[in-house]
Amino acid sequence: MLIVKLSWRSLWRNRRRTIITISSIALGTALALFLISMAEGMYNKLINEAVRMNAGHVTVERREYARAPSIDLVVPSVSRIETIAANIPGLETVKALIIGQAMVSSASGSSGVGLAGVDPGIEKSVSPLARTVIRGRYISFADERGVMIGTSLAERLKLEPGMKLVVTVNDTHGELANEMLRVTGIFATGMEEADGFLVQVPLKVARRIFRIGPDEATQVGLVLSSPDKQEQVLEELNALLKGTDLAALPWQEVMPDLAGFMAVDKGSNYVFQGIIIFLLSFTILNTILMSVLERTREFATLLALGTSAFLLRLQVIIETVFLGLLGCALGLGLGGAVSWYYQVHGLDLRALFGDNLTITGIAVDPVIHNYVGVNLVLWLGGLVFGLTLLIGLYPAFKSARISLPDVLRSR
Amino acid sequence: MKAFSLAWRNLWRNPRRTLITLTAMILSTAVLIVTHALMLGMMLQMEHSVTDITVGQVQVHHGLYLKERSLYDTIENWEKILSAARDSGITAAPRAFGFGLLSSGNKSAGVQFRGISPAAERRVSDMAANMFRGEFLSDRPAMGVVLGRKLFRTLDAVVGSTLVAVVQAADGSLGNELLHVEGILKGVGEAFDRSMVLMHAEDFATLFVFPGRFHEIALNSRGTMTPEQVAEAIAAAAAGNEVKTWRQLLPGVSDMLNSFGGSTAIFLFIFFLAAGLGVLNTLLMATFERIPEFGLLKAIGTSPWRILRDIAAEALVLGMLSSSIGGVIGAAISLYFQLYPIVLSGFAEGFNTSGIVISAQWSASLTLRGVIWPVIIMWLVSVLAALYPAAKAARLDPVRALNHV
Amino acid sequence: MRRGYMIVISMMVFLCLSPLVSLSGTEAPSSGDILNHVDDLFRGSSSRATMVMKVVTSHYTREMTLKAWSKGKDYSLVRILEPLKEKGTSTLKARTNIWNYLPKVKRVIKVPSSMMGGSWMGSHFTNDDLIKESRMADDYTHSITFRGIRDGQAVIDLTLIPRPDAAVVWGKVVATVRENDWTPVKIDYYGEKLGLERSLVFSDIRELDGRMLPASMRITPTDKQGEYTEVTYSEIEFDLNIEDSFFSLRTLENPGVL
Repeated sequence: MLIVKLSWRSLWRNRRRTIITISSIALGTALALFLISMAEGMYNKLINEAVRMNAGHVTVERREYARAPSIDLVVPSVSRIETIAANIPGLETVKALIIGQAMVSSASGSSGVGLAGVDPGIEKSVSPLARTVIRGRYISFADERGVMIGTSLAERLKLEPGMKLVVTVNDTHGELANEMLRVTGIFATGMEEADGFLVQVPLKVARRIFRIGPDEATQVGLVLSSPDKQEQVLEELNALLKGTDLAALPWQEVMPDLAGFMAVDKGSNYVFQGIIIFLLSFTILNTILMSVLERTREFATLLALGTSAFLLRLQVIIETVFLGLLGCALGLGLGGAVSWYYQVHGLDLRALFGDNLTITGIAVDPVIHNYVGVNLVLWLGGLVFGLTLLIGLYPAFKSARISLPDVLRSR
Repeated sequence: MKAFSLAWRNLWRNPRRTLITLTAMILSTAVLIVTHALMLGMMLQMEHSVTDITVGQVQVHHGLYLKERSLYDTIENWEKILSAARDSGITAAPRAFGFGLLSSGNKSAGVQFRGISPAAERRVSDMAANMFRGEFLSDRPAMGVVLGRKLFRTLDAVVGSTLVAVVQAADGSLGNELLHVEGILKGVGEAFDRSMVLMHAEDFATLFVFPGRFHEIALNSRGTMTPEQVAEAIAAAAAGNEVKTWRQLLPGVSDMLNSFGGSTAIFLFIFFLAAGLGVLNTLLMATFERIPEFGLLKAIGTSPWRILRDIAAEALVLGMLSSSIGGVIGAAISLYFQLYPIVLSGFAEGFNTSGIVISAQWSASLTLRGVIWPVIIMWLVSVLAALYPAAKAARLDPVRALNHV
Repeated sequence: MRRGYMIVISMMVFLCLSPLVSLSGTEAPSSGDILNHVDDLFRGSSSRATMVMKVVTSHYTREMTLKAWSKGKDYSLVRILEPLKEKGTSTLKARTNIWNYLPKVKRVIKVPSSMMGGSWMGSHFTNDDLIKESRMADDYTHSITFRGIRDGQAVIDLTLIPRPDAAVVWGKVVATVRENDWTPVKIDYYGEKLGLERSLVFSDIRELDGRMLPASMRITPTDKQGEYTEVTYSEIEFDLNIEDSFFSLRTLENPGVL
């Protein structure tokens, strides 16, 4: 115990040096934490929005559906999936989707479009269509004949909120079917594919138009509250669906484009994380080396006074432990606080860059939210502490091997 | 000059300390240069992947085409625009678009037929190099087609399949032809993958009974000019048509790139901060260590100004030495990654999201600015880090400075 | 790309115009009577006709000679006889489906829902128009809004307002018939903001297969100056004995059936 106390006191004998070393570790850790949590935040948001907007973390659909999507390939019982899913821990919501082709016409013309039946309650908070309504309002569950259309389509067909639109589809029986709808709102996502060629209706309206049963849908998506459970959920579901013509797929298979993008972007991000951790450890190495250099005289004196080499090494190691602990704690505290602030309040890129950056906010939300996970804090803290200790070993080893005459001569 | 040679000698009086600080600065400079080059490389790659796969930097259309998509809204004087582009060293590809039905057996899909000149298309875009299966169109019209990545699944087609195209031709008749699948493109973008059918412009003209008319000219300088400059270069020849840069054509994608650029700038700022602070701390430590030495100098009658000057000179020498070595190392590594891209994942194919194709190969992009900024920052940091403790020492009374620990 | 001319198309394709109803001038007819009469025109009987379709647009002018068979409102078959380049190109409608036969590639293509809005053979009629059932009385509420002399002719105007949920794009349809025999004269289609979108005018009333019929009808979209599609019957036979099985893909693919 004495040695611990001794190390602590020795640490503060040269306050300035200790502060510099600790601040090196702390600032480096804080910056790394901020950088990594920002990247994590961006990924989380991308996945979060994509799975909520599309078909969930895990999608249940007919086995043939992925190969050639067709309106008659339906999941026969959404409620059964819901019942199964209800027992899955970490389930946030179950969303049913119906996607099909249609022709929409007004008195001024007609156009082929993709028709999506969605749950307005879920979609309202996640879909860019709901976010970019420029006229009218977003569809709600109660809308028996509501339809959302894009601004280009509205222009082509000369439609305004409240006006009627006739939808023609081949229903699940292969028959042509017509249905009159009224425009609830007009969206402007900035993406021509959506604005010109996509219409959204409440799920029950899509079921009526396509003659799909009240408990059927082309896809059933499971949105999980914690994405880490995804693998487990997939396994459980697929075990339950064995022998049926349904399959549960991860979002990576349903949206291979996004998964590929994430894989590549994450790869580049690991490179950046590697670089910042390299910078961080290098700084720690330098400051510790420097402080040992500075202390050769002190060590020499201690050795001359009869301190055993073992005790001296132990003392230096314990000092390094203190430095590492303090640096990590401070760094994680500082970095965590700043990252947490931006996790809550978001970092608005527009405000930061002013006119040099044009983001309309249509397709991309220009506000970045950090994401500080417990895992991140633990592994980064562990890494920095480990690095500090590892780096501290060298001076500790070196400290007891100082040749007294050399040192005294050098000054 | 004398101050510098003195500084040089002073530096090597304690070689270990100097080496530590020097390494710190060299490494930080090099790391900053490489990071900057990598980030810039990624940005450029993203922009190029938008412009080079299909879109081009600038597109020309009839003023009404983008809004109405009518077969009859074609470009006036398209030959004049092509020759203006050629004169400015810009590659240009004319394209004709028409909607129709493509069917195979009992499967059918509404598609967009795209009549192109394969030779011009090879110059303007990387489409031809982006084949998933089969071959790109040959230069001779032979009723061959290349399908989008998802369309071939919808139609249950393979390379070699025969498909039936049915369209409303320009003369009002029901245009129909048998087409042969020659190839399938890699993923390019959702709309493209789902509905695009590429065919030779002359085959298109036969199917649609619409010879010599084009709806779009895509222009690409292949990195030698900005989109704005390209638009400028053909503005006179394209008068009467609508000229738009890719950022105007794809505001959503442009937003995405800008947002990516914004977050990259923040990343870069953090890197500069981390490197600068690291060097600052190392230097502070090194100079503080020398306070007794400065006290000694003062005791033997050296003026505080002289001390400051000497220290500043030392810092400057350190800064110059480290930044030139670091600059060379950083530039060399960046250049290496520019020539030999980093392979980011096991996937051979690139990926696309909202029209941006992300290549799995990542190459750096070295610029003068990317070298100069890290160097300047290292100089500033080194001088600052040396002067603060030096000023403190210069003011100290010699006895206290000597005992300063 | 227009749609929903139920009466129009049924007339064009089925060609079963009114077996002249004897009308007592003393009784005041209701709008329902007139509509039922018009609807009855298309029920039950079969026909075979030869006609010329002339299409004038700002981009092209074309003229086709067509041969058409029909039975009831569920079945019809139309073949192009001229121009030579398109000879044999045919359309079969059976209930709610449409197929095209393309002699050049010898293939039958089913028209999917997404192409229903497409023009039929370059005319101002869409594929969708071909299959629209005549559901005037189901889809609209109707009333007589004019009765008297207009342009020297005694006519009746029927105004049809779509029922709230009917799958109809129009805001209002006004049909004008001759007062004496309820032969249609004109049908005007209004958009939801009640601007005239297009009108269909019947003319050339003469005797065909022993009946007095408007042999010619012309559809004019109001937003496209100078454009129209005109159908003129040169020959027509009514009440033939055609089996339902005639309207099959086999007949469609057999160019010998003319």
